[in-house]
Amino acid sequence: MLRFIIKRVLAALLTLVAIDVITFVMFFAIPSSPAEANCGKNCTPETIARVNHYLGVDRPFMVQFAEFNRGIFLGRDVDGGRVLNGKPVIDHCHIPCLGYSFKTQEQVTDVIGRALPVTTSIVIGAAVLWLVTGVGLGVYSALHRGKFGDKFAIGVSLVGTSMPVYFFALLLLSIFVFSTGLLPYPQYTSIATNPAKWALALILPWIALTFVQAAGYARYSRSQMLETLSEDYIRTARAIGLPARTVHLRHALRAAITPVITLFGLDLGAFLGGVAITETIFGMHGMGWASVQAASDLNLPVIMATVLIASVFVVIMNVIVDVLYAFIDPRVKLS
Amino acid sequence: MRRTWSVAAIGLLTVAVGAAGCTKNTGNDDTGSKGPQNNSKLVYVDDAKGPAPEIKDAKKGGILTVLNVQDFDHLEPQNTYVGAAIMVGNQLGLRTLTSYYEKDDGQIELMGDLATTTGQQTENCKVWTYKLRDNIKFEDGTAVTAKDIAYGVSRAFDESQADGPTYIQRWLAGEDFGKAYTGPFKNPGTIAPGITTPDDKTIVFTLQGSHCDFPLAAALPTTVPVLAAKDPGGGKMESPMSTGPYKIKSYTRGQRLEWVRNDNWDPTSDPLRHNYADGFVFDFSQSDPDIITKRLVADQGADQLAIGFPNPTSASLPDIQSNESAKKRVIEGDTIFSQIVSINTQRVTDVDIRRAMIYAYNKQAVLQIIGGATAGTPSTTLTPPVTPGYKKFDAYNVPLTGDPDKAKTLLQGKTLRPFKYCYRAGGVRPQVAAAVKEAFAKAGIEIVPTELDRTTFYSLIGKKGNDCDLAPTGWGQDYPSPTTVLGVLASGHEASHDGSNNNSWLDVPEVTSKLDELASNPDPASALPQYGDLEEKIMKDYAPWIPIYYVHSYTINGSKVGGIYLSQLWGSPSLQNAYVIQ
Amino acid sequence: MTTQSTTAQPYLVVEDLKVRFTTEDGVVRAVDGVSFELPRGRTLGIVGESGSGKSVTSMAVMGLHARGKRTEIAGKILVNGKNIVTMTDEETRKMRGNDMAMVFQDPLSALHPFYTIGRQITTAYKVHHPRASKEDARKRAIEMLDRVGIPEPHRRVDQYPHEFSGGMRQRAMIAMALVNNPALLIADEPTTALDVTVQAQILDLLTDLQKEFNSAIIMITHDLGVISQIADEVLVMYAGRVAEHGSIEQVMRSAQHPYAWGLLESIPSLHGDPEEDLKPIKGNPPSLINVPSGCAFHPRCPYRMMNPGPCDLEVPQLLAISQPGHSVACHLPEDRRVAIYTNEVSEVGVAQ
Repeated sequence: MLRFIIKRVLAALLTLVAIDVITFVMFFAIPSSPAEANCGKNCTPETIARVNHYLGVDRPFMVQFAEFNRGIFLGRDVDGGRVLNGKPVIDHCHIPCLGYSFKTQEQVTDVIGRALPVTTSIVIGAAVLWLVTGVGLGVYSALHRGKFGDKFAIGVSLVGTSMPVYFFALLLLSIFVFSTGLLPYPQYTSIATNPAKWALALILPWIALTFVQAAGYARYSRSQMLETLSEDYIRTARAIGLPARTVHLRHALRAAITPVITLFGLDLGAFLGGVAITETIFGMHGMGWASVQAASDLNLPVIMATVLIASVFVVIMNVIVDVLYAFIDPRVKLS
Repeated sequence: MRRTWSVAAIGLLTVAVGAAGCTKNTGNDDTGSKGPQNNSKLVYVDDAKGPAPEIKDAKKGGILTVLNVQDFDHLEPQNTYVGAAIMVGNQLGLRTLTSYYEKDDGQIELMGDLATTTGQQTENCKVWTYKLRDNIKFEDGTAVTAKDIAYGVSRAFDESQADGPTYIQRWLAGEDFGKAYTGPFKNPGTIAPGITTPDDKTIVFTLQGSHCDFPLAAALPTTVPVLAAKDPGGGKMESPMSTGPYKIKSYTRGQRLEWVRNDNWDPTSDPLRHNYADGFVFDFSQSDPDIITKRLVADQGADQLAIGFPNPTSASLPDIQSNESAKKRVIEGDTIFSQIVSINTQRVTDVDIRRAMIYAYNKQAVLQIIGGATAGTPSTTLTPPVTPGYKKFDAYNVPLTGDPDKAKTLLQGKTLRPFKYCYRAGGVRPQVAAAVKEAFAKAGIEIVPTELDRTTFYSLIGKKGNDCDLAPTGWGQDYPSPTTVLGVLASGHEASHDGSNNNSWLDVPEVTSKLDELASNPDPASALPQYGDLEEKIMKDYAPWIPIYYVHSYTINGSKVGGIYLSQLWGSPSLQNAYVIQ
Repeated sequence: MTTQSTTAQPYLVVEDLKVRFTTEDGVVRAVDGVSFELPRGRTLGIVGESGSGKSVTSMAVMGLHARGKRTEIAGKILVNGKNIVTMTDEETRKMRGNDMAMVFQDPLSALHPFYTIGRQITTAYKVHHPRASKEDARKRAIEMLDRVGIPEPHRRVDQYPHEFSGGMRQRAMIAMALVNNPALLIADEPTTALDVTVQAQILDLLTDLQKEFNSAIIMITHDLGVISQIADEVLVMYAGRVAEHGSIEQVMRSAQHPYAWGLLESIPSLHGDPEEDLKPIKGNPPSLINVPSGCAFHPRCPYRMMNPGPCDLEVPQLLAISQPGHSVACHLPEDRRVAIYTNEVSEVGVAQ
């Protein structure tokens, strides 16, 4: 098992290096001149050259790439061409250095450092909710197949899967905030500052994501459960006299939930990279919001960082899912 | 200034939010504001004394929230050029040598702010002397001296401050001011050429030429005092030190900016400002203007204390218009910003073709796309009514939907090439381009709409010899004077270099010399009517642009917000008299 | 073959069992009036094509049909004197795996892939021995694995089904079925998925175990070869009804029903000419929603008597014939059947 894990982690690291290279090449190849874009009215060729030097884009590709990656692990000193008290100021970009935001001049790490907890708060909270409600609903439906409860749940989840998240989010806002004032407009507060306020602000985003996601999970786990219930080993479990509850929850659910967990892991990885629509509607400045803003500002360092981090999440979750799968399903060959 | 301004230096994209109008909401007047669009008059007041006159019904207490879709790019004083950022800084904490007071009747008073008067000039507006008021302190208790203002103006010369206004720098050191003096960061202990501080209370500016607009330029944040000892350097000043009623308590970029009362502010030293509210919180977390509008319309809980900065889009306008309470909380009016199509006169050289384009343009179709009357008022002039020097005229009497037949008559016997219509990517601009193409086609003019990158649009159309024939652009005054409108957009000086704002590339010696003459008139007020006449003549003789509309501002506040009016100078809801209705 | 318990009290009595499923297409008469008895120590073979009702019958005996609006069960199933048909679900559950157990066709899919063999056997044990300790249950599992001939049971008890060979899996399945010493074991095609040598081993194992535990076994199969090796009695089912019922000797050596002949003819003989074609039964098994009128087999029967009737008009009754214990449901006169069998069927030969 240990060898399997090490192998998977090594493969993931290779993937990350590839992503790093591809992302870097991609943004390097973009036919845009950030210097010119941000230089504006009083722009002279000297200014552009200075800005290009500051951004480092006047150096060979390999040098830039090496610098960038060195910065991530070791930090680096950046000469922004700033002078104070007659002396040049060298800014130290601390570990992990992802460069500086074109827009606010802060270290990208700080931008991400603010955004990441927001997205994590939204996504992990919502993920727990949607997994529990989705699987719960799906299992309930499967066990009451064809009955009213099943039909109702299928109906609700059909609405859920066909309703765009922005629509549902706005609906929630207009019901709970705009019309009734039952909840204040969400104002993200760090969990460390005030857990109650944190939760209060996140209720609506959680519900919005849960509703939309749980619908898919309900449908998926329902079909998985139905498939499992028709398996021979479920008949065996009944034939040895196990009570229905044990058959359903221990034997059937165990097998039915495995693909659901896989999906969940991959979704979680994708979502942790940012849930742009939900974040934007509820005014939460998470990774999704940051990447949308960065994209519209052509803020390359931030775009790169968000892309890289989103990929890291996807890759990490892939490894976790693989390893978890090996634990759940003994048939997985550990090689 | 550009309404959406793309200016120099790394990462500094300034976005002016909203616009200015001449209507005034006096505190608890809950009828909203639909004031007349009268021609504002600028008055110099030289005997202003603190404290500022009390606002009727205003009481102390409560924290007001400003909701905006985007953070200010920065508040570093010498680097700020966006209306809302200048206004917020000036009204809450970053006092300047002179400042404006916008009166209920639409009149603007310029008065000494840190200085006792609007300025003493000698030698035909070449030398300007200011005396500082008593009891002016930084938020840390340090007294503000003339040296701090000299230092502030000097740091405006540093290349890191390229986003900010450049009037005073140019007047002190010439057009190439950046070469003449590179600022105090590179030259520690120096101050800009032409500035002297005979004593702690006196600062003297000796300009290279006659600039009677100096008191107006001194109201721009170039003159915000900065304590050299605490200056973190260019581009790094996140929370500038306050000299006004509020100071910055915390600032999370892109998210939240919190101002609290400044105990080191003495109301008797300030003829303009109040500190009714306990503080102001700027909340930038919601980037969708429609959701902000919906919150303000709903007027629930804490949002009753909120001031909306962004204009609602047409998607959320019905929310306001179908709600009686919300309609009363709207602050609206035309602004200093004017939208035109600049015709490149050096490429479209035949004035009759330019006139035909004016006839062919369908303003009604375009206004419909941008959101109707709450977004713009159809115009026939470049200079908007709120800018001094405005003259009401209509050079061609074109109906709102255009007059393609008249255009065709003008084009008779001419062979036209397709014209390149360059527009900035984003928003509804592609739809507008399509509407223009359709309207022009009716008159037999073919245009090729070409989308240019959002961030580089203005630098591309500002390049000398660029190949755009037509370009929709926006413009507004930098300070209440036509010198910053017609004086920029029609001046041949501007048509000589890259980075130009004269996007029509109009270069007529008689126009340029007339503008120069008007700018050096020691009595600016007497020059004002001549600007209107000159613009009408330019329009008739050279037809260098198609006026489309004056940008209209339309914002909404929570029900417990008092004292908000639309600042015609800065184009945003003014916080100067704001208080919490209790 | 053992004859020791022919006189014993029948452990299982099935009387006029009818199982019907309501589907969207109509009512499926899966089992339509089946009766038989089975004492302990004896083996009943049920043969028939798929859809003949043999598996439904066995599931009914196990009480595994979820009774409800869609499933209707009538008649009597007495296991050890207790009627499964009228019992509550909980009562049948308590009997399942304890009084009667079942071995399924494909041991790979019938065993849970995520649990070890040992865990599955201990689960089966502990459900009916709630007070047994973990260690006891494990000991019991190892003992059972050992008993069914799995080498190194101490080690293999902790392995997963996919780590077992097909035959070993079926042995494990049998161990699991017998862990609670059930008096009735139903084996539903237990050897179909296995290769021939393993088949024989499994059948031997079942025979041995039967001797040891004196259990009643129902062997469900479509393979008369298997039946001939293990069963005492044979029940030939067709379209939910019993076509022929008799001792293994009677059915194998003097079958009376044309359908049984068909089955016999489709078995390869060890003595017959390998070049000679086997004769498959023509046609397809009937739909159980629209069972053919009269004798359900008549559309496929080469000896049917019609114009007029009775094969397409009257349902033939299962009637005893001259040999005691042998009964058949066929309109053909007995002498004709004997003649046909002697002249045509026995020639083809049976695996014997």
